[in-house]
Amino acid sequence: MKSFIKLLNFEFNRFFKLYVTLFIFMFVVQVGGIVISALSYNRTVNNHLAEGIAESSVIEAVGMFSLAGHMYHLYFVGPLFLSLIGILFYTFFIWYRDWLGKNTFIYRLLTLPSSRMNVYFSKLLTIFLTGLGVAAFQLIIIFLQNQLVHLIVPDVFRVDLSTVYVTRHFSLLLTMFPVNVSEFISYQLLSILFIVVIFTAILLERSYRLIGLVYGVVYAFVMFLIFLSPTIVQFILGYEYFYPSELVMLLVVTGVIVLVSSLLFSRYLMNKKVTV
Amino acid sequence: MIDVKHVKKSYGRKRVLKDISFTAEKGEITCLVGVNGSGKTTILNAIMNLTPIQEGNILIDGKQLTKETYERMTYIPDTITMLPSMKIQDAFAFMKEHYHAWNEKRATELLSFFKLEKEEKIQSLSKGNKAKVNMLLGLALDVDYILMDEPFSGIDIFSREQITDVFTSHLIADRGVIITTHEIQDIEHLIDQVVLLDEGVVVRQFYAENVREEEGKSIVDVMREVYRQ
Amino acid sequence: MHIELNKREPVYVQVVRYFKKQIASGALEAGAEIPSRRELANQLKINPNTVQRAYKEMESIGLIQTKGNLPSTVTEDELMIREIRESLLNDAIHSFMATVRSLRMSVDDVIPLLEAREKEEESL
Repeated sequence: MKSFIKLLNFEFNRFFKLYVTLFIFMFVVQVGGIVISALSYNRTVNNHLAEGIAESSVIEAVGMFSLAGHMYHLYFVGPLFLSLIGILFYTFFIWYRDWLGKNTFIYRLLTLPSSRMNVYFSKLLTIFLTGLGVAAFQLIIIFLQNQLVHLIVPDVFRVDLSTVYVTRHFSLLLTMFPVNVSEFISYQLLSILFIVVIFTAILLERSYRLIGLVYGVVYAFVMFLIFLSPTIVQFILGYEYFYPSELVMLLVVTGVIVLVSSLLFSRYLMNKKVTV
Repeated sequence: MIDVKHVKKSYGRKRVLKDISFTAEKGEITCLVGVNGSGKTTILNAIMNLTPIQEGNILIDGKQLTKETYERMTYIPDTITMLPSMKIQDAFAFMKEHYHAWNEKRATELLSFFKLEKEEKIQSLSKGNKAKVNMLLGLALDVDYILMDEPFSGIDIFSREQITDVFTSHLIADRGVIITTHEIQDIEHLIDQVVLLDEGVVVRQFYAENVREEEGKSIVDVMREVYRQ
Repeated sequence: MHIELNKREPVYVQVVRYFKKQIASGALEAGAEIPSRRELANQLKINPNTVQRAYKEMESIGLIQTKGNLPSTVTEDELMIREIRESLLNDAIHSFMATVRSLRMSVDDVIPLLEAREKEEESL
């Protein structure tokens, strides 16, 4: 256990600089974007007012300013997507960086006097926590955006949306911040499942190299099918055979099956098949 | 004793080790000799479970390798096993964190013997110095067995002398050492046992002093005989 | 200490011979302390096990003695030391005679040459 914590700390420190850079990027683009947007709106409004048009007419003409209009802009969605892609990329890189290039740190990791699964779980948890961190940070940014908009745009021209409202009404964010606890937990487990299947595929490639790449892709695909088998069955039958709650439960079952078997398989590969 | 028994290994279709058997005793320096590609590195990797074997058995002091074995056996490969961005002191901290067998005092001694500073970053070191740090990380562990892959390759002559010095010092004494090399002529006087490899098998295994006494041959003479075919 | 070692003869034999020469010539005095096994291995840059074997051999022929945990010392047996001197001399004579014979000369040819040589070296 101690070894796991040390490795987790180690992995996190390695990633830290990139992590902070990512946050700064998100912050600058998303907050900067909304500020520029708000200032630009103000300018438009002021131009209209300067021409002697009444406030209510201006509002009719250009509308009121709210975060609602900006959730689909590139400056909001862009950094978020880039972060998620970055995390996906790092899911692979976190392994390959130790194997390739002049760096043969994997020799050290594989010959530590503790279970190799500690290495595995430390990498898994690092990715998972990074994802959570990005989500948490996104919330903070939305909150900040609200405060800044409040400061910049005068009350009459503004529609205030609470942070919670924002997360509930825009599909992308709704996925990131689900409404009820069970959904939240399911999404977390789903993301862990996703990472574990990718890790297993990576370990397959690292154990069998070229043919391992094929094995890995096939494995991921098969796991995907097994997991979604209840949905597929329903699709084949052509009608909604299962009650929604039954479907969810079945998916939980297949999810657990895929997760546990992937973890066991990963452990087998790490201990017996992986090669430098 | 490290006991390698009838080990067979392939990388995909390529059979690298066809039938490898030899033993390496504690308190002795055993040298695996063979041309590049003869599987020397693979054997060391296999002993450390850094690569799987298809057949055969490797026992360390009579037992299969477990994670605890890594407190009693260490590997010094021909590339450094720490992150290049680390400083030497960071590497020490890492080793201390993870290994009970880490001997900080000896590490510091070796550091001054090799004339290196703790604050130096590994990536900024010369090739020779990187090799010395790598060796240091292995020697500063209180382990029974040390495996070294080509400890003398690509190193300037002065670094080489320093490393040779290590072999005759208390740092190696009483431990079991397996080294690989394809340049044995400079270190003939350091070796206890020689294991000659060719085409994936052990063609001859002998004690250097015995061959000198019984056949009047040097290690290089025996190699010439064996590899002439 | 430093010896030129050849690779075809057992190293431990060479070490023993070296000690014999040192003792015979007086460079290593009777009763003198000799380096520990590890120190010698380090000085000569050879395997400590080889030094161990050499020391064991020298002990068994009485060239050195070890009392308990103290460092080993050279024998104080004058007779032994003289025997060593003679045996080394005999080895030298043996190889010298082989050279003489290969040049198809005899002892009578050689003795005047030896005497002349000795006189030369004395006058230097």
